[in-house]
Amino acid sequence: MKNEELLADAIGGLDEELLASVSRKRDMDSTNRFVVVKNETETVKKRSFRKFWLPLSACLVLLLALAAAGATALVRGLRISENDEGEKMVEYVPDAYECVPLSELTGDVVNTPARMKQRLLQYLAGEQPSLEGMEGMCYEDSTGQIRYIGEVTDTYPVFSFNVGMPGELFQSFSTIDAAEAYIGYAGMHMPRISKPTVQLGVYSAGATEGGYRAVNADSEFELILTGVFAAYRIGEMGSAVSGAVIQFGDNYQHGPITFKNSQDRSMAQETVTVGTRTFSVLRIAPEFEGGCECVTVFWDENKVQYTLEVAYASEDEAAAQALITEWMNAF
Amino acid sequence: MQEAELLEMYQNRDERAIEETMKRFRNYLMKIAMQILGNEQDAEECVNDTYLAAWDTLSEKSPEMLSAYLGKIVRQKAIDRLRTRRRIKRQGTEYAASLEELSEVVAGGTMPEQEAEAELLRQLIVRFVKTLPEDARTLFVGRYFYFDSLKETAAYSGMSESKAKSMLFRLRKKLRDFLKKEGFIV
Repeated sequence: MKNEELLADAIGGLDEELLASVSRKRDMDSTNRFVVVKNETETVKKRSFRKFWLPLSACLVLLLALAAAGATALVRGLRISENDEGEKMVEYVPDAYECVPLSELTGDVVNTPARMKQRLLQYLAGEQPSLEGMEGMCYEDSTGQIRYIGEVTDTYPVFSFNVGMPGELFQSFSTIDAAEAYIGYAGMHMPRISKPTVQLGVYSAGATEGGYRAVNADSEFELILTGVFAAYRIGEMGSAVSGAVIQFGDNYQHGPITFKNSQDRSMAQETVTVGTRTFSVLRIAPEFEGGCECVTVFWDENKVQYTLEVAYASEDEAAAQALITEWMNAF
Repeated sequence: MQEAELLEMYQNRDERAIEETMKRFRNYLMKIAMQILGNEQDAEECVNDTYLAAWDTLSEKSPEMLSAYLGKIVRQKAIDRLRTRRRIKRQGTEYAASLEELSEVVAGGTMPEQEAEAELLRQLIVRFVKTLPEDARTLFVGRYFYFDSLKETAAYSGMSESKAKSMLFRLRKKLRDFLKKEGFIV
């Protein structure tokens, strides 16, 4: 037997624990492709999973952490600290944790709790939501069937829950104006960037008694958070997601935006002043040689928390910096 | 149906488990077998052998992830089939391309064929893969365990093809240095 065959055999003996995480990524990517549905009459256009989904996914993690965090009285700005297990933590403390009263919203987003309930009943009844009105992301499974975010399938239960837990909705829009109008909060002004968006929409989260694990046909949802998200491409492999988020609900304590640096990558913080505004900037070093640089910019105003998350290859640094500068100047 | 339920069916010797496995994993297993054999009929036979192996073994085993467990079986069956039949039509398969890349790792060296040493080599490979950062591990396992194409591996690793190619090159060099240090490549 040739040497390389012996080596291939040895690689074939990798244990299942090592294979499991890779296997999940393969399952999600190579047998399922996300597609963006413009509307029911247009041709479904395939998009790459990673480029479009991951930035949004990162936002959702950020948002959920935000919704779950407890309120604390801290000075505004960015803080890097360590938790009890020695993992680096990052917190952005906004000016105030005040929620926006639902009465200040004029858009259709106030009706999302009813839509969340409707979607939940559809899942429980095993129905496929109709394509009409289901603008947003969906994916094509290995059999070529179109499936929807939030749809709980036998094959991908974890995948489905990661993407759309009961009480989560994502609605696509073609312009930032339309997305802002859907929310209808006068204090929100999403930065306008000259680059075209590759994905744009409003994400909303609702809470229900007992959490999503306890959902049943009687569950009712309360809107606790909504925000506009716009994704942009940077170079061949980079992306940026601009987000503007508001929170609601007297029953929920909202705290700083928090996330954990589980890869133990080196982080640095700084502040950048543009005009009268001072932005907090977090830079995270690439995970490995040739990996992506990550920069997140934070700002809050009128109870709206704005973030810009940028991940880019080193050769695209100038393009990434140009986008960050444009974003900061767009308020 | 959840994986745990499917495993329970195997443990209860419920024959519907095979039907369910075919429904859920056929495409996944066919893809691995095709990348090694490059022939649909051979691949189909390997996949059928995999169902039988699952039936024979899963009454007593509870793998953490069924897809990874079945993937290992079909991979080995496909490689065995390729070797036993000696009608190696490797050209054009991802297996052939992966082997060619792996030959760089062991070029000019001698490798152990004794069973005990082969097991030690397997343990070293596990140790090596465990030290890799997540993205590098995904690339390595995707390309050299599943024999996925460079394009696909790069896509689910979240990087460009050129980036994946250069990272795989560095990984092969790193593996060669590691195996040299451990005395496996003289």
